[in-house]
Amino acid sequence: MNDTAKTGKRAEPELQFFESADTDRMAQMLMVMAAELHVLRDRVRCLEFILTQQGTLAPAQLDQFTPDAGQAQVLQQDREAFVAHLFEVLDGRAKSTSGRGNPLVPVIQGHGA
Amino acid sequence: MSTMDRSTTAFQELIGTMRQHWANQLYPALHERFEQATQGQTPTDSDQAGQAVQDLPLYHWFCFIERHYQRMKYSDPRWGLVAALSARPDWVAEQLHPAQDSAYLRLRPELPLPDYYSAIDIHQHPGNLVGADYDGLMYRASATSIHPNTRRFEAHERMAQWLQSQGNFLSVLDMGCGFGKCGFPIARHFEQAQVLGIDLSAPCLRLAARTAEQEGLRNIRFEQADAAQVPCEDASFDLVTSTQLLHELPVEVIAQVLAESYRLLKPGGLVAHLDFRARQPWPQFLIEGHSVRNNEGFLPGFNRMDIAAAYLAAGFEPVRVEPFAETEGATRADWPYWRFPWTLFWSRKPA
Repeated sequence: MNDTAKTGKRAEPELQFFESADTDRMAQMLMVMAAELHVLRDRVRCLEFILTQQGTLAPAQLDQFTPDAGQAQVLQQDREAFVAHLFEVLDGRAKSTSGRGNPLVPVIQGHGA
Repeated sequence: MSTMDRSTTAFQELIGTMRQHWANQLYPALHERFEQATQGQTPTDSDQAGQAVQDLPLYHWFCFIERHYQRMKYSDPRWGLVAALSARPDWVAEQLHPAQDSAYLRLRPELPLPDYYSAIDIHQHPGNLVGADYDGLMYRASATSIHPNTRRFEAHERMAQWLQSQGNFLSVLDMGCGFGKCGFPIARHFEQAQVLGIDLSAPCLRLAARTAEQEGLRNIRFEQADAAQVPCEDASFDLVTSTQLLHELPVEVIAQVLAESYRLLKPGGLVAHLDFRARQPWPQFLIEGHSVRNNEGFLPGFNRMDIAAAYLAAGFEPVRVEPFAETEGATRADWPYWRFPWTLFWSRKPA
Protein backbone atom coordinates (compact mmCIF):
# COMPACT_ATOMS: atom_id res chain seq x y z
CA MET A 1 0.00 0.00 0.00
CA ASN A 2 1.17 3.46 -0.85
CA ASP A 3 0.81 5.36 2.42
CA THR A 4 1.46 8.67 0.72
CA ALA A 5 -1.43 8.06 -1.63
CA LYS A 6 -3.80 6.95 1.10
CA THR A 7 -3.11 9.96 3.26
CA GLY A 8 -3.53 12.18 0.25
CA LYS A 9 -0.32 14.15 0.71
CA ARG A 10 0.55 14.78 -2.92
CA ALA A 11 3.11 17.22 -4.18
CA GLU A 12 0.84 18.31 -6.99
CA PRO A 13 -1.10 21.61 -6.74
CA GLU A 14 -4.86 21.26 -6.40
CA LEU A 15 -7.04 22.21 -9.38
CA GLN A 16 -8.14 25.86 -9.39
CA PHE A 17 -11.64 26.95 -10.37
CA PHE A 18 -11.84 30.58 -9.27
CA GLU A 19 -9.74 33.58 -10.30
CA SER A 20 -7.26 33.18 -7.49
CA ALA A 21 -5.95 30.25 -5.48
CA ASP A 22 -6.91 32.22 -2.37
CA THR A 23 -10.57 32.05 -3.36
CA ASP A 24 -10.37 28.33 -4.00
CA ARG A 25 -8.86 27.75 -0.59
CA MET A 26 -11.47 29.94 1.05
CA ALA A 27 -14.17 27.96 -0.69
CA GLN A 28 -12.65 24.72 0.55
CA MET A 29 -12.66 26.10 4.06
CA LEU A 30 -16.32 26.86 3.60
CA MET A 31 -16.95 23.27 2.61
CA VAL A 32 -15.19 22.08 5.74
CA MET A 33 -17.23 24.45 7.85
CA ALA A 34 -20.44 23.27 6.27
CA ALA A 35 -19.53 19.65 6.96
CA GLU A 36 -18.58 20.41 10.53
CA LEU A 37 -21.82 22.23 11.07
CA HIS A 38 -23.91 19.49 9.58
CA VAL A 39 -22.23 16.69 11.51
CA LEU A 40 -22.56 18.64 14.72
CA ARG A 41 -26.23 19.38 14.13
CA ASP A 42 -26.84 15.73 13.33
CA ARG A 43 -25.13 14.54 16.49
CA VAL A 44 -26.89 17.04 18.72
CA ARG A 45 -30.25 16.19 17.24
CA CYS A 46 -29.62 12.45 17.68
CA LEU A 47 -28.45 13.02 21.23
CA GLU A 48 -31.57 15.00 22.02
CA PHE A 49 -33.69 12.21 20.60
CA ILE A 50 -31.96 9.60 22.73
CA LEU A 51 -31.97 11.58 25.93
CA THR A 52 -35.55 12.66 25.52
CA GLN A 53 -36.60 9.08 24.84
CA GLN A 54 -34.83 8.03 28.01
CA GLY A 55 -36.42 10.82 29.99
CA THR A 56 -33.05 12.07 31.19
CA LEU A 57 -33.03 15.47 29.51
CA ALA A 58 -35.27 18.43 29.91
CA PRO A 59 -34.74 21.19 27.32
CA ALA A 60 -33.59 23.79 29.84
CA GLN A 61 -30.73 21.61 31.06
CA LEU A 62 -28.61 22.24 27.95
CA ASP A 63 -28.63 25.99 28.37
CA GLN A 64 -27.88 25.76 32.07
CA PHE A 65 -24.94 23.39 31.73
CA THR A 66 -21.43 24.39 32.92
CA PRO A 67 -18.54 21.99 32.21
CA ASP A 68 -16.17 20.90 34.97
CA ALA A 69 -12.38 20.94 34.45
CA GLY A 70 -12.20 17.55 32.79
CA GLN A 71 -15.11 18.31 30.52
CA ALA A 72 -13.57 21.66 29.64
CA GLN A 73 -10.39 19.89 28.57
CA VAL A 74 -12.38 17.61 26.26
CA LEU A 75 -14.07 20.61 24.73
CA GLN A 76 -10.71 22.29 24.20
CA GLN A 77 -9.33 19.21 22.42
CA ASP A 78 -12.39 19.22 20.18
CA ARG A 79 -11.80 22.88 19.37
CA GLU A 80 -8.16 22.26 18.49
CA ALA A 81 -9.04 19.35 16.20
CA PHE A 82 -11.69 21.50 14.55
CA VAL A 83 -9.23 24.30 13.80
CA ALA A 84 -6.69 21.83 12.40
CA HIS A 85 -9.40 20.39 10.17
CA LEU A 86 -10.50 23.84 9.05
CA PHE A 87 -7.01 24.89 8.04
CA GLU A 88 -5.97 21.58 6.50
CA VAL A 89 -6.67 22.90 2.99
CA LEU A 90 -4.26 25.79 3.23
CA ASP A 91 -1.22 23.86 2.00
CA GLY A 92 -2.82 23.84 -1.45
CA ARG A 93 -1.92 20.22 -2.14
CA ALA A 94 -4.14 17.87 -4.08
CA LYS A 95 -5.65 15.13 -1.94
CA SER A 96 -5.80 12.90 -4.96
CA THR A 97 -3.58 13.02 -8.01
CA SER A 98 -5.07 14.18 -11.30
CA GLY A 99 -2.47 12.49 -13.45
CA ARG A 100 -1.29 15.81 -14.86
CA GLY A 101 2.29 15.62 -16.03
CA ASN A 102 1.97 11.94 -16.87
CA PRO A 103 2.64 11.53 -20.59
CA LEU A 104 -0.12 8.92 -20.80
CA VAL A 105 -2.75 11.42 -19.76
CA PRO A 106 -3.90 13.91 -22.40
CA VAL A 107 -4.35 17.51 -21.26
CA ILE A 108 -7.75 19.09 -21.87
CA GLN A 109 -7.73 22.86 -21.56
CA GLY A 110 -10.49 24.91 -20.05
CA HIS A 111 -11.74 22.57 -17.35
CA GLY A 112 -9.90 23.83 -14.32
CA ALA A 113 -6.58 22.52 -15.62
CA MET B 1 -21.77 1.30 5.64
CA SER B 2 -23.73 0.58 8.76
CA THR B 3 -20.60 0.13 10.84
CA MET B 4 -19.58 3.77 10.45
CA ASP B 5 -19.82 5.96 13.50
CA ARG B 6 -22.56 8.59 13.66
CA SER B 7 -20.31 11.47 12.58
CA THR B 8 -18.98 9.62 9.54
CA THR B 9 -22.48 8.56 8.57
CA ALA B 10 -23.74 12.15 8.88
CA PHE B 11 -20.79 13.42 6.84
CA GLN B 12 -21.22 10.87 4.05
CA GLU B 13 -24.96 11.56 3.95
CA LEU B 14 -24.15 15.24 3.56
CA ILE B 15 -21.84 14.42 0.64
CA GLY B 16 -24.64 12.48 -1.04
CA THR B 17 -27.08 15.33 -0.49
CA MET B 18 -24.59 17.80 -1.95
CA ARG B 19 -24.23 15.62 -5.04
CA GLN B 20 -27.99 15.45 -5.42
CA HIS B 21 -28.34 19.22 -5.08
CA TRP B 22 -25.49 19.75 -7.55
CA ALA B 23 -27.17 17.50 -10.13
CA ASN B 24 -30.76 18.60 -9.61
CA GLN B 25 -30.44 22.29 -8.76
CA LEU B 26 -27.09 23.70 -9.84
CA TYR B 27 -26.93 21.85 -13.14
CA PRO B 28 -30.39 22.95 -14.39
CA ALA B 29 -29.52 26.52 -13.43
CA LEU B 30 -26.27 26.29 -15.38
CA HIS B 31 -28.00 24.75 -18.36
CA GLU B 32 -30.55 27.56 -18.31
CA ARG B 33 -27.73 30.12 -18.39
CA PHE B 34 -26.15 28.21 -21.28
CA GLU B 35 -29.44 28.32 -23.21
CA GLN B 36 -29.76 32.04 -22.54
CA ALA B 37 -26.20 32.70 -23.70
CA THR B 38 -26.51 30.70 -26.90
CA GLN B 39 -30.08 31.84 -27.63
CA GLY B 40 -31.02 28.46 -29.01
CA GLN B 41 -28.09 28.31 -31.43
CA THR B 42 -26.12 25.07 -31.22
CA PRO B 43 -22.42 25.75 -30.66
CA THR B 44 -20.05 24.40 -33.29
CA ASP B 45 -18.02 22.40 -30.79
CA SER B 46 -17.46 21.78 -27.10
CA ASP B 47 -15.01 24.67 -26.79
CA GLN B 48 -17.65 27.09 -28.03
CA ALA B 49 -20.19 25.53 -25.68
CA GLY B 50 -17.80 26.16 -22.82
CA GLN B 51 -17.27 29.77 -23.79
CA ALA B 52 -20.95 30.40 -23.14
CA VAL B 53 -20.60 29.66 -19.43
CA GLN B 54 -16.96 29.66 -18.43
CA ASP B 55 -16.95 33.20 -17.04
CA LEU B 56 -20.06 32.69 -14.92
CA PRO B 57 -19.57 32.42 -11.16
CA LEU B 58 -22.21 29.68 -11.24
CA TYR B 59 -19.99 27.63 -13.53
CA HIS B 60 -16.99 28.13 -11.26
CA TRP B 61 -18.98 26.84 -8.29
CA PHE B 62 -20.43 24.02 -10.37
CA CYS B 63 -16.90 22.85 -11.16
CA PHE B 64 -15.58 23.45 -7.68
CA ILE B 65 -18.33 21.44 -6.01
CA GLU B 66 -18.00 18.59 -8.50
CA ARG B 67 -14.33 18.35 -7.70
CA HIS B 68 -14.43 18.81 -3.96
CA TYR B 69 -17.51 16.88 -2.91
CA GLN B 70 -15.77 13.82 -4.32
CA ARG B 71 -12.41 14.70 -2.78
CA MET B 72 -14.01 15.16 0.62
CA LYS B 73 -15.91 11.89 0.30
CA TYR B 74 -12.68 9.96 -0.02
CA SER B 75 -10.03 12.10 1.59
CA ASP B 76 -11.57 14.20 4.35
CA PRO B 77 -9.12 13.52 7.17
CA ARG B 78 -11.81 12.93 9.78
CA TRP B 79 -14.85 11.45 8.07
CA GLY B 80 -13.67 10.49 4.59
CA LEU B 81 -13.83 6.89 3.43
CA VAL B 82 -10.08 6.38 3.79
CA ALA B 83 -10.20 7.50 7.41
CA ALA B 84 -13.29 5.42 8.13
CA LEU B 85 -12.09 2.18 6.56
CA SER B 86 -8.45 2.31 7.56
CA ALA B 87 -9.57 2.53 11.19
CA ARG B 88 -11.60 -0.69 10.93
CA PRO B 89 -9.29 -3.46 9.67
CA ASP B 90 -11.22 -6.21 11.46
CA TRP B 91 -14.52 -5.20 9.90
CA VAL B 92 -12.84 -4.88 6.51
CA ALA B 93 -11.41 -8.40 6.80
CA GLU B 94 -14.88 -9.79 7.58
CA GLN B 95 -16.25 -8.35 4.34
CA LEU B 96 -13.61 -9.89 2.07
CA HIS B 97 -12.95 -13.32 0.66
CA PRO B 98 -9.61 -14.57 1.98
CA ALA B 99 -6.70 -13.77 -0.34
CA GLN B 100 -6.55 -17.36 -1.54
CA ASP B 101 -8.09 -19.28 -4.39
CA SER B 102 -11.48 -20.98 -4.07
CA ALA B 103 -14.47 -21.88 -6.21
CA TYR B 104 -15.28 -18.17 -6.29
CA LEU B 105 -11.88 -16.58 -6.69
CA ARG B 106 -8.55 -16.87 -8.43
CA LEU B 107 -5.93 -14.24 -7.74
CA ARG B 108 -2.74 -13.68 -9.69
CA PRO B 109 -0.50 -11.58 -7.44
CA GLU B 110 2.26 -11.83 -10.02
CA LEU B 111 0.15 -10.07 -12.65
CA PRO B 112 1.91 -6.83 -13.62
CA LEU B 113 -0.22 -3.69 -13.44
CA PRO B 114 -0.23 -1.65 -16.66
CA ASP B 115 1.38 1.77 -16.39
CA TYR B 116 -1.85 3.56 -17.25
CA TYR B 117 -3.61 1.86 -14.35
CA SER B 118 -1.41 3.37 -11.70
CA ALA B 119 -0.96 6.71 -13.49
CA ILE B 120 -4.07 8.31 -12.00
CA ASP B 121 -6.11 8.13 -8.81
CA ILE B 122 -9.20 7.42 -10.86
CA HIS B 123 -12.36 9.00 -9.39
CA GLN B 124 -10.00 10.70 -6.90
CA HIS B 125 -9.80 7.30 -5.17
CA PRO B 126 -6.49 7.66 -3.28
CA GLY B 127 -3.96 5.14 -4.52
CA ASN B 128 -6.50 3.82 -7.03
CA LEU B 129 -8.04 0.38 -6.54
CA VAL B 130 -4.95 -1.64 -5.80
CA GLY B 131 -3.36 -0.21 -2.68
CA ALA B 132 -5.28 -1.34 0.38
CA ASP B 133 -7.50 -4.28 1.30
CA TYR B 134 -10.44 -1.92 1.73
CA ASP B 135 -10.24 -0.44 -1.78
CA GLY B 136 -13.15 -2.49 -3.10
CA LEU B 137 -15.29 -1.57 -0.11
CA MET B 138 -14.35 2.06 -0.60
CA TYR B 139 -15.28 1.94 -4.27
CA ARG B 140 -18.62 0.33 -3.43
CA ALA B 141 -19.35 2.93 -0.77
CA SER B 142 -18.39 5.75 -3.12
CA ALA B 143 -20.58 4.43 -5.92
CA THR B 144 -23.70 5.13 -3.86
CA SER B 145 -23.38 8.89 -4.37
CA ILE B 146 -22.06 8.99 -7.94
CA HIS B 147 -25.27 8.43 -9.85
CA PRO B 148 -28.01 10.80 -8.70
CA ASN B 149 -31.66 10.06 -9.48
CA THR B 150 -31.17 6.32 -9.87
CA ARG B 151 -31.77 3.47 -7.49
CA ARG B 152 -28.65 1.73 -6.23
CA PHE B 153 -27.04 -0.13 -9.16
CA GLU B 154 -30.16 0.46 -11.26
CA ALA B 155 -28.14 0.88 -14.47
CA HIS B 156 -26.64 -2.57 -14.03
CA GLU B 157 -30.04 -4.17 -13.47
CA ARG B 158 -31.32 -2.48 -16.61
CA MET B 159 -28.27 -3.69 -18.53
CA ALA B 160 -29.01 -7.27 -17.50
CA GLN B 161 -32.62 -6.79 -18.65
CA TRP B 162 -31.40 -5.46 -21.99
CA LEU B 163 -29.13 -8.49 -22.38
CA GLN B 164 -32.13 -10.73 -21.80
CA SER B 165 -33.77 -9.08 -24.78
CA GLN B 166 -30.84 -10.20 -26.91
CA GLY B 167 -31.12 -13.91 -26.24
CA ASN B 168 -29.96 -16.54 -23.81
CA PHE B 169 -26.31 -16.80 -22.86
CA LEU B 170 -24.60 -19.73 -21.20
CA SER B 171 -21.04 -18.45 -20.91
CA VAL B 172 -20.41 -14.83 -20.00
CA LEU B 173 -17.27 -12.77 -19.54
CA ASP B 174 -17.62 -9.54 -17.55
CA MET B 175 -14.52 -7.42 -18.16
CA GLY B 176 -13.44 -4.93 -15.49
CA CYS B 177 -16.01 -6.43 -13.14
CA GLY B 178 -14.96 -4.45 -10.07
CA PHE B 179 -16.79 -5.58 -6.94
CA GLY B 180 -19.40 -7.39 -9.04
CA LYS B 181 -22.03 -4.72 -9.54
CA CYS B 182 -22.43 -5.68 -13.20
CA GLY B 183 -21.87 -9.41 -12.99
CA PHE B 184 -24.34 -10.15 -10.19
CA PRO B 185 -27.45 -8.98 -12.09
CA ILE B 186 -26.29 -11.00 -15.10
CA ALA B 187 -25.79 -14.09 -12.95
CA ARG B 188 -29.28 -13.65 -11.49
CA HIS B 189 -30.99 -13.04 -14.84
CA PHE B 190 -29.18 -15.92 -16.59
CA GLU B 191 -29.38 -18.69 -14.02
CA GLN B 192 -28.12 -21.32 -16.46
CA ALA B 193 -25.06 -19.26 -17.39
CA GLN B 194 -21.54 -19.48 -16.03
CA VAL B 195 -20.31 -15.93 -15.47
CA LEU B 196 -16.64 -15.05 -15.16
CA GLY B 197 -15.72 -11.61 -13.86
CA ILE B 198 -12.19 -10.36 -14.40
CA ASP B 199 -10.48 -7.30 -13.00
CA LEU B 200 -7.01 -6.07 -12.13
CA SER B 201 -7.98 -5.10 -8.59
CA ALA B 202 -7.53 -7.86 -6.03
CA PRO B 203 -9.39 -5.89 -3.31
CA CYS B 204 -12.40 -5.55 -5.60
CA LEU B 205 -12.27 -9.22 -6.57
CA ARG B 206 -12.08 -10.34 -2.94
CA LEU B 207 -15.19 -8.28 -2.16
CA ALA B 208 -16.98 -9.62 -5.23
CA ALA B 209 -16.15 -13.24 -4.36
CA ARG B 210 -17.25 -12.79 -0.76
CA THR B 211 -20.50 -11.17 -1.84
CA ALA B 212 -21.23 -14.01 -4.28
CA GLU B 213 -20.49 -16.53 -1.56
CA GLN B 214 -22.77 -14.76 0.94
CA GLU B 215 -25.60 -14.45 -1.59
CA GLY B 216 -25.31 -18.10 -2.58
CA LEU B 217 -24.70 -17.31 -6.25
CA ARG B 218 -23.22 -20.52 -7.65
CA ASN B 219 -22.87 -19.45 -11.28
CA ILE B 220 -20.35 -16.63 -10.97
CA ARG B 221 -16.66 -16.57 -10.17
CA PHE B 222 -13.90 -14.02 -10.33
CA GLU B 223 -10.33 -13.97 -11.60
CA GLN B 224 -7.57 -11.39 -11.50
CA ALA B 225 -6.79 -10.69 -15.14
CA ASP B 226 -6.20 -7.89 -17.62
CA ALA B 227 -9.02 -7.37 -20.12
CA ALA B 228 -6.40 -6.60 -22.76
CA GLN B 229 -4.83 -10.04 -22.31
CA VAL B 230 -7.32 -12.53 -20.91
CA PRO B 231 -5.99 -15.99 -19.97
CA CYS B 232 -8.88 -17.89 -21.61
CA GLU B 233 -9.12 -19.99 -24.74
CA ASP B 234 -10.41 -18.59 -28.04
CA ALA B 235 -14.20 -18.77 -28.48
CA SER B 236 -14.86 -19.43 -24.80
CA PHE B 237 -17.92 -17.19 -24.36
CA ASP B 238 -21.17 -16.33 -26.06
CA LEU B 239 -21.37 -12.94 -24.33
CA VAL B 240 -18.51 -10.55 -23.58
CA THR B 241 -19.54 -7.43 -21.71
CA SER B 242 -18.26 -4.57 -19.58
CA THR B 243 -19.73 -1.58 -17.82
CA GLN B 244 -17.86 1.70 -17.36
CA LEU B 245 -14.56 0.07 -18.32
CA LEU B 246 -13.62 1.46 -21.74
CA HIS B 247 -13.51 5.13 -20.73
CA GLU B 248 -10.88 4.36 -18.10
CA LEU B 249 -8.48 3.00 -20.76
CA PRO B 250 -6.07 4.63 -23.22
CA VAL B 251 -7.24 4.38 -26.81
CA GLU B 252 -4.63 1.78 -27.76
CA VAL B 253 -5.72 -0.43 -24.85
CA ILE B 254 -9.36 -0.10 -25.90
CA ALA B 255 -8.34 -1.55 -29.27
CA GLN B 256 -6.68 -4.46 -27.45
CA VAL B 257 -9.79 -5.04 -25.32
CA LEU B 258 -11.97 -5.11 -28.44
CA ALA B 259 -9.56 -7.55 -30.09
CA GLU B 260 -9.76 -9.76 -27.00
CA SER B 261 -13.55 -9.45 -26.98
CA TYR B 262 -13.54 -10.77 -30.55
CA ARG B 263 -11.05 -13.58 -29.87
CA LEU B 264 -12.92 -14.80 -26.80
CA LEU B 265 -16.37 -14.82 -28.40
CA LYS B 266 -17.87 -17.81 -30.14
CA PRO B 267 -19.04 -17.14 -33.71
CA GLY B 268 -22.33 -15.26 -33.51
CA GLY B 269 -21.57 -14.17 -29.96
CA LEU B 270 -22.62 -10.80 -28.56
CA VAL B 271 -20.25 -8.06 -27.44
CA ALA B 272 -21.89 -5.30 -25.37
CA HIS B 273 -19.80 -2.62 -23.69
CA LEU B 274 -21.84 -0.13 -21.68
CA ASP B 275 -20.11 3.20 -21.21
CA PHE B 276 -20.42 6.93 -21.83
CA ARG B 277 -20.43 8.99 -25.00
CA ALA B 278 -21.26 12.65 -25.62
CA ARG B 279 -20.62 14.08 -29.07
CA GLN B 280 -22.97 17.08 -28.96
CA PRO B 281 -21.09 20.24 -27.91
CA TRP B 282 -22.80 20.90 -24.54
CA PRO B 283 -22.79 17.36 -23.11
CA GLN B 284 -19.29 16.85 -24.50
CA PHE B 285 -18.12 19.98 -22.71
CA LEU B 286 -19.69 18.69 -19.49
CA ILE B 287 -18.37 15.14 -19.59
CA GLU B 288 -14.85 16.08 -20.65
CA GLY B 289 -14.78 18.71 -17.91
CA HIS B 290 -15.94 16.01 -15.51
CA SER B 291 -13.02 13.87 -16.66
CA VAL B 292 -10.58 16.54 -15.52
CA ARG B 293 -12.35 17.27 -12.26
CA ASN B 294 -12.77 13.62 -11.35
CA ASN B 295 -9.37 12.35 -12.53
CA GLU B 296 -10.62 10.34 -15.48
CA GLY B 297 -7.87 11.33 -17.86
CA PHE B 298 -8.58 8.79 -20.57
CA LEU B 299 -12.27 9.59 -20.94
CA PRO B 300 -11.82 12.34 -23.60
CA GLY B 301 -9.72 10.01 -25.75
CA PHE B 302 -12.43 7.36 -25.58
CA ASN B 303 -15.17 9.91 -26.19
CA ARG B 304 -13.50 11.22 -29.32
CA MET B 305 -12.21 7.98 -30.82
CA ASP B 306 -13.76 6.41 -33.90
CA ILE B 307 -15.43 3.55 -32.08
CA ALA B 308 -17.13 2.24 -35.22
CA ALA B 309 -13.76 1.84 -36.92
CA ALA B 310 -12.33 0.19 -33.81
CA TYR B 311 -15.09 -2.44 -33.72
CA LEU B 312 -14.66 -3.12 -37.44
CA ALA B 313 -10.88 -3.38 -37.04
CA ALA B 314 -11.39 -5.96 -34.31
CA GLY B 315 -13.48 -8.02 -36.75
CA PHE B 316 -17.00 -7.31 -35.51
CA GLU B 317 -20.08 -6.53 -37.50
CA PRO B 318 -20.91 -2.79 -37.62
CA VAL B 319 -21.33 -1.58 -34.04
CA ARG B 320 -24.63 -0.20 -32.76
CA VAL B 321 -24.12 2.91 -30.65
CA GLU B 322 -27.29 3.58 -28.66
CA PRO B 323 -28.20 5.92 -25.80
CA PHE B 324 -28.90 3.92 -22.65
CA ALA B 325 -31.36 4.99 -19.97
CA GLU B 326 -29.87 4.28 -16.55
CA THR B 327 -33.32 5.01 -15.12
CA GLU B 328 -36.74 5.41 -16.72
CA GLY B 329 -36.90 8.50 -18.91
CA ALA B 330 -33.26 9.52 -18.51
CA THR B 331 -32.60 9.71 -22.25
CA ARG B 332 -35.55 12.00 -22.91
CA ALA B 333 -34.52 15.28 -24.55
CA ASP B 334 -36.21 17.23 -21.76
CA TRP B 335 -34.53 15.30 -18.89
CA PRO B 336 -33.63 18.26 -16.66
CA TYR B 337 -30.93 16.88 -14.38
CA TRP B 338 -27.24 16.25 -14.74
CA ARG B 339 -26.44 12.68 -15.78
CA PHE B 340 -23.71 10.63 -17.30
CA PRO B 341 -24.26 10.15 -21.05
CA TRP B 342 -24.74 6.38 -20.77
CA THR B 343 -24.28 4.69 -24.15
CA LEU B 344 -24.37 1.06 -25.24
CA PHE B 345 -21.87 -0.16 -27.83
CA TRP B 346 -22.92 -3.56 -29.08
CA SER B 347 -22.24 -5.87 -31.99
CA ARG B 348 -21.77 -9.51 -32.86
CA LYS B 349 -18.95 -11.68 -34.02
CA PRO B 350 -19.86 -12.92 -37.50
CA ALA B 351 -21.31 -16.43 -37.36
